[in-house]
Amino acid sequence: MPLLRLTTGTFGQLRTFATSPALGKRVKTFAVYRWNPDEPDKKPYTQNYEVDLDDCAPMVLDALLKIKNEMDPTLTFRRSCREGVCGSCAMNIDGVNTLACISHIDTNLSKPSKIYPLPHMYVVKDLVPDLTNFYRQYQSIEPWLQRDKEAVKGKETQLLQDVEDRAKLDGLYECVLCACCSTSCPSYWWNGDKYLGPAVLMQAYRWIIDSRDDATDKRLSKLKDTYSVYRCHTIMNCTRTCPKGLNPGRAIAQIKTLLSGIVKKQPPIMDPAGLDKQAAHN
Amino acid sequence: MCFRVIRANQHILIGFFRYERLNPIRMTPGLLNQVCYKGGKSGHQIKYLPYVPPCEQDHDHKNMNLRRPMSPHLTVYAPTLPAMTSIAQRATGCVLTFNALCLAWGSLFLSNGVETYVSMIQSLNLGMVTCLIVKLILAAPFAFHYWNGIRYVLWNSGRMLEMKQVYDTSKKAMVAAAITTALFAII
Repeated sequence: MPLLRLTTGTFGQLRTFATSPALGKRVKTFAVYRWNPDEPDKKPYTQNYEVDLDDCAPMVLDALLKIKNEMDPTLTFRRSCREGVCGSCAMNIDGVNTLACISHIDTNLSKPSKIYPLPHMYVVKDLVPDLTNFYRQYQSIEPWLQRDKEAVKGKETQLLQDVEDRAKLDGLYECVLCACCSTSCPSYWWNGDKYLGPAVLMQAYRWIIDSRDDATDKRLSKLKDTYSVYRCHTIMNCTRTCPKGLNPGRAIAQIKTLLSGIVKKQPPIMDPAGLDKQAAHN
Repeated sequence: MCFRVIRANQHILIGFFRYERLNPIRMTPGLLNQVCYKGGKSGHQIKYLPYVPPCEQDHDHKNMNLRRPMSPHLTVYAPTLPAMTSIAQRATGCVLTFNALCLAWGSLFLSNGVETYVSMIQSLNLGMVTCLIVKLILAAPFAFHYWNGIRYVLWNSGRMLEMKQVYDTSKKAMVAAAITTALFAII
């Protein structure tokens, strides 16, 4: 009996050995950019972390969270929604800007996965870039609906828009302003102070072509200089990198055609103030 | 004994209230001004200055003062075909401008006509292969710039801007450029 008791454990161990898929662990190395503002004299460096992929969820953000939770709590990065709708975790992963939460970990274990902050941005800490300039530029295009006759507060009526006009906004309004595209653009690297960058220009275009918006001419005239739009040289890094699959490059080209006058903004199919007029008529 | 202790404590408490909490100056800070002004110049004067927002710094200056590093860009960003054709367009443009300038200056400042130089080159007795290579070097930038330039014309009119089309046209432009270069070299 004692002998049997001894052997049960052994057999149990043998069984786990046989069924466990991880005879050798699948260990992936992550090379992560580090810089600490408390030690500003220390140059930025990359630190390697080894993560067992069998013990980690499939996305890069999961690996980063695992590193932060279990290995190094000082690792700093932005994250929020973990499903690609907030745009917080934008970073440069293996040379391409994407959202860490919706990009799979490269399962090729021989190469380390390189993780850098968004390119050509001032680093606040580790993977957190300073996006102040980006947001200020977004503010400068006045990203809201502007009407010639603003509705009186409390007496707003619904603005009308035809389905066809609404369809023009598809592929533009989905932008989450993660800044992946802007920071992938070499023109934005060199002229980030004056050139607005793909993300902001795509939003500018979104408001320019909105059938309900009356400020089209004002918006276009604001962009009429050598820097705001025309630093775009159609390098198309923006469209290639967009984690939401949008096309900022095309939006900028369309702004250019509007600016040059080749294309004119179509008048709205449905009068936006239709309901208002009807109410006044009755 | 007990009574004395209580009495002493009461004295302390009353004293505290008299000089601290019930002090009229404590209760109404406005009185402080009056008290100060009474004393003439010797008293403290409270000056009220309008609010001045902190000096707004330029984005770059603010970050440089904070000694934040610039994140790596050229060195880490993956080279992509569209980006490479774009930079190649620039480079070939520079080469072509240089060539054109050389021709223009040559025609302006060199005394002899074109025939002299043609005969000079002929007198070098270059081999077949060397000749071909020189021709290729001269033709390739032009061919590439020409065909790739067509893509830019299309893009500026708002066409062919889907990612698939961008890759497709870049490959086509390169093939066309190769063929044209070969044709130029054979002539």
